[in-house]
Amino acid sequence: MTDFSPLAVLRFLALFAVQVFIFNQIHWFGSVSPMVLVLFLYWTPIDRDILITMIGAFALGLITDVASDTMAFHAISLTVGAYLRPSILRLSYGSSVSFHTDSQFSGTLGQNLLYLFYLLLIHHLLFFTVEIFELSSAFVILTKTAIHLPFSFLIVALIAILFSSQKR
Amino acid sequence: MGKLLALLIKWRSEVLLVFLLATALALTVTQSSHQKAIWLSSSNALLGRLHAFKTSSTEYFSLKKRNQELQNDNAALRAALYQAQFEKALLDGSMRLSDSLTPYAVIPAKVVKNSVLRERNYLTLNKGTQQGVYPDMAVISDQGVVGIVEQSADNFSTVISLLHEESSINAAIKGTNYFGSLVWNGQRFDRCQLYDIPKTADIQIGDSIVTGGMSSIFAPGILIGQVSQFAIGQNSSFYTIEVSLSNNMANLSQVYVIDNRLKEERLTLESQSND
Repeated sequence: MTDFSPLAVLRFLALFAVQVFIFNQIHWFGSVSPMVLVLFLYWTPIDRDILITMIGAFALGLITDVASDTMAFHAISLTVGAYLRPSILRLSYGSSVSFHTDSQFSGTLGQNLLYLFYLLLIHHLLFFTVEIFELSSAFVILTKTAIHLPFSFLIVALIAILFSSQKR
Repeated sequence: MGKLLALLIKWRSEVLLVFLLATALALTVTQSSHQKAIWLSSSNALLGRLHAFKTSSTEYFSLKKRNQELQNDNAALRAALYQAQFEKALLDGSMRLSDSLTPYAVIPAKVVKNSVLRERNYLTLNKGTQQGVYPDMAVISDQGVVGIVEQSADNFSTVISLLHEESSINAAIKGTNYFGSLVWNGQRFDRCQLYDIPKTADIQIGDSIVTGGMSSIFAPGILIGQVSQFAIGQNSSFYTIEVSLSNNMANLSQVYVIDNRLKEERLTLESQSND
């Protein structure tokens, strides 16, 4: 349960590097940079202890924040994402998902994409909420989330599908 | 005690969540102030080097264009230098410009990291304290104002961009003595907003906006942008002016850090007068 496989460490570092050195440099339509860190939560086996997942998510978020000068926005949104992951899993795969025994679990493509979408939605909403930090600007937060979400989802879904064989 | 432990174990994920969020929020709050830990930003040595490596491996593709820009820049600087030397010679004989007589020192630097999409945008430069770059120095490019140095490590420094919600720069309408505060509303990265210009000022669309003389950081008269829109609010005696920035903030490469050698003297004098 506490093992850190080389693959997990590699994914952690790869996600950091890809976010900071590739996606942070992309400015589609002048203002959209895809955010792909939720793949960390997506790829973490579903029976992994929630505490380990939260600490891992916090660490990945924080080093990305340091490298992108985004204070602790990614750290906060990923940590909350990790905390809510069991509920999101149940929401996406149905309550029958047993995440105590079956680390090889993988649902249908539709379920996986739905799971990914929920993770992204929570990450983006929290990220822009913490960034703007004024509830009176709720409209701005929702607009920013609505603009960024489709692009991030496209990229994240592509990566998830391309590397899906490694998930098993 | 046993009960408390049992409770803690039962709610361990919530306890960890609260702890991690509190840590993150504390970092956010301390970072937005001036005393933020230097290792918690992209000016720390390791990340600075990583960003510098990435920039140096991609900059070859734009070398031709950058060369052209540098040539233009050099030409403009030489022209200004000759003009200044000429004027000086006219004033007091043929004296050479020396360090003690020029109040502003110029340190060229390269942008190794830049962002324009956040509410608080920063740049990272490849020059630090070892090259004479210190906090609160002005950063400009050949097109205009870029920002203000926030932190310096040995070989890198971070700059608060004009595109930062806490950035506020003294700005004036070129050729007049009307001045106000230039801020950014977080929306378009090619627009800033200028407030506090009284409505008695005569403004036209296309008027140049330059740095004002009230700033101890920027030399007066550095181009910021042009007026693209202006309005007077109801019951207000001040304009709200939309400024189209002369710099393309999303595509900065070569910049200059300006050290105002007389800043300390001026600030000391002003604080004494206020006491």
